[in-house]
Amino acid sequence: MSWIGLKKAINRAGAQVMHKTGLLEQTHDKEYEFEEKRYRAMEAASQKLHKELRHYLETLRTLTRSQVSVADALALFYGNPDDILQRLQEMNSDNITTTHELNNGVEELEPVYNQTVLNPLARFNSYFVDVNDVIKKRGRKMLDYDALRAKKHKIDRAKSSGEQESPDEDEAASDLTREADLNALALAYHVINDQLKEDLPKLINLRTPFLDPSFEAFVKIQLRFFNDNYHHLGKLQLKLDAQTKQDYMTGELENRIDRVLAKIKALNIAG
Amino acid sequence: MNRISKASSDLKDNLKIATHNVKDKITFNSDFNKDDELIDHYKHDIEKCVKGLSFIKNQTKRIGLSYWPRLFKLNLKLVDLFLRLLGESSLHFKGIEQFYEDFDKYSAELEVPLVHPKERELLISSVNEELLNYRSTIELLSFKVKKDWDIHVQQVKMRVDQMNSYLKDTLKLIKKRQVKQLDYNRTHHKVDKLQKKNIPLDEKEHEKLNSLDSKLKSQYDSFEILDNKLKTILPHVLTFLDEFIEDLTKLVICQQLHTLEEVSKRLKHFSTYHGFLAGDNGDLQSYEAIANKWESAITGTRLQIESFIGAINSKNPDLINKEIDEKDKTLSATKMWNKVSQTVTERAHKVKPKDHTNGVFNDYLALDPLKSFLEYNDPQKNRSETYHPTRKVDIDDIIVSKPPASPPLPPLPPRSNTKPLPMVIASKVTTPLPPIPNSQSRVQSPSVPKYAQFHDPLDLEEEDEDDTSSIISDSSFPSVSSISSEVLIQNSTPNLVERDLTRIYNGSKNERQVAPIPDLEPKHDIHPYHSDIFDKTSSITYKLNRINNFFGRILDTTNGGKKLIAKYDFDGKEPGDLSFSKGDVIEIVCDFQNIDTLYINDDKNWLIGRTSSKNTENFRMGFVPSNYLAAT
Repeated sequence: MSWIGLKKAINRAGAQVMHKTGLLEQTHDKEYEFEEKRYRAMEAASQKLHKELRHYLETLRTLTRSQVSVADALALFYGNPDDILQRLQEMNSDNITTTHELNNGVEELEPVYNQTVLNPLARFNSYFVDVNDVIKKRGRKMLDYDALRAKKHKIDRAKSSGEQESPDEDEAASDLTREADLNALALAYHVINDQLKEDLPKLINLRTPFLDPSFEAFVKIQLRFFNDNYHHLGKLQLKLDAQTKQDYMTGELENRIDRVLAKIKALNIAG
Repeated sequence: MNRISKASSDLKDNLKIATHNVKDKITFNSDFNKDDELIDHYKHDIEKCVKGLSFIKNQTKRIGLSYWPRLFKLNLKLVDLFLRLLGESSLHFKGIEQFYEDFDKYSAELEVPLVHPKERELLISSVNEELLNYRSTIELLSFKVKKDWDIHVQQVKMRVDQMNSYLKDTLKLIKKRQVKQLDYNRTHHKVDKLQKKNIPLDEKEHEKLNSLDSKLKSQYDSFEILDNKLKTILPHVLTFLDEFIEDLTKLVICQQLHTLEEVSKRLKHFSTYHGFLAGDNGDLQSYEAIANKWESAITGTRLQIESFIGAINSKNPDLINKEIDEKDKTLSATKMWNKVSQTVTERAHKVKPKDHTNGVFNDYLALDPLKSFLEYNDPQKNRSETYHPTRKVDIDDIIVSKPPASPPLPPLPPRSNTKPLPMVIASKVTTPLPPIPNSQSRVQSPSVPKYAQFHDPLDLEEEDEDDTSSIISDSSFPSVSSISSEVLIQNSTPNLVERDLTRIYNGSKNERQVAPIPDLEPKHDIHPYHSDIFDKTSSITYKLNRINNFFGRILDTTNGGKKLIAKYDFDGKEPGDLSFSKGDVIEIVCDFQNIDTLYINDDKNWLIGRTSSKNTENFRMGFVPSNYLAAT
């Protein structure tokens, strides 16, 4: 950091403390504050959204994985598919391959999900870094301006109270430079303040065209995913006997299981 | 001494033979060893099955009660966040009201009104609506799926628990057998030891040998009981387990399919409604197409934002013009964390049957005959061999005893053909002839609904109650069926029938524009015009009430009839039927077949009967199928 930068920083630190404690009169701009608060709301929501979207992908993975594990367990009752003739286990090895297809479904989904949902959100959030830089800069300018203004006021007050001292030339000159400095600082502050006031709403309004496609993609990806899974499983169901679905719908499948249980009960194992 | 020793050696010899036989049976017989091996095999498999089933049960519970609901909950959370970003009153913050107030104060002083910041908010209402709709879609789905899975989880849990308890019983039985076997072997060993002594046995040892021998025998018996039981039961247990698991598999698949169908159906409906699928002929887009569409939608905005960001602060100029790619941008640390948490939460379970290749139910695996034909040129070659010769596969199926089926009952008489006719009889029996209707009500308006053409007897009865004369003139009965009018004319005295009555009736028939097709609904179809205390005129309570009125009326006019005996049990199928059991005496209150010749007289009809009882105050009354009764 340069010497000037350091000096500035030290000065600002003092001014900031005075700002906080209310000793220093603070410049207020309602219009700007309004926009900044909206911007902050957007920032917070969008960052949270990004986090939850990542979380969603994880949940989807967990769900599919556990479905696969059930299928695996069921299939293994019929032996390990690795070392048997595939055709000996029509139904259940199909179950296993199908559920592996489900797993692949998640893998297929991931890149698209990343491209259209996760990464855009990440990108959107990365814009905030730049904007936040500008907002910080504005804060610094404001501090400088406020500090110098307060100083000037103090001197002016001192002058008006002790008017008997004849103003010497030095002081007049320093008054002038102070005036010029103050003006320059005010200008710098106003430029950046106005720029933000104008630009923040623009950025905020661009959020809709930016995020809506991601939402659309999000919905469509889910649709595609569940639909794919449905069809994979549906293929499997075709291989089950045609009665099964009917039975499932009418609750007959459960009755069948109950009948098996009744039969095994009839064996009277414990008795 | 010598004598004793001789006797003892005799005894020893005898015993030797006896024990040898037993020994032969249990230890030296190769079948026996095979049995042990087989039972051990079963035991292992059943243990694994219990574990596997428990795993499936728990995993189903997790999927149903945790993962699916969590997915939907997250989805809702996401859409809420989107709503906070894009929806109505998005980006509102705490204390925004203060700003609005200040603005109002400020703008009140101005001459030219400013646009209120609220109105400057950019809200695309279609986006808002889309988000809200998505929210309700997900809510609905969440509710439905949760309900479905709750039931499913319950069902699976209940049944798997039951199955497991049976399997555990089997394991206990196997263990019991092992214990008995061990006991037996121990005793056997002792006997052997005694017998191997070369010196003759003394008295005490003799006694011991004898007691051991009897013990051995009893142990062998109890062992054999268990052994036999196991050998009979085990193949059955495995068969049923096989069946159980197969059905369970089907159930699981169907449940998942059902949920997936539900989800994709709803999402598709939503997407179609909001035009997400437009331009693809309603087909689902591939992932690539989704990405492309997204890219074309977003690129303009992205460039705009990025150039704008570059203008205010160009610290990171690389960002601009860089495409958003599909790479996983998650930090490697996060990835690691995910992987760790995954291994913790993920519960995979391997069912390890002893026979890795064929699994637990190896001897039931059958090939499709068609496939075996293709493969081996023999459709019969569709069975893999059983792995053990003593395993009996050809045992008869266990039949759960059912209550003995009762002999088939005769079919009930048709109900439909009795429909229009009782009305005639009822009116004849219970009501005096209606006075001449005035012509105004007889003119039939073409807008009469078709069901007004045919009334139930009940309708007529109901009308009687209020005012007998209003049968025809009542505005809710603007028409009278043709049958009714004919009967009316036949039965009435000539001085009541004026010539123009016929003319007007026939005339109105000619005017009829709605075909008098009787409703195909069941006979107790109630006229919807009646506003009664019953809201639902289709409810059974309502019907029963009407039938009761009808019966009450018949009872007032008839004094009982012949008594018949029921030939079969009858439970009653429709409201109003009289249930009775075989041998009951039924008193026929009203038999339409006797009263009216129009009535179908083939003895297959519905009579009105009451249960005969000595106490005339307490009886039940209802419709009785005539072919269920026999003369006394």
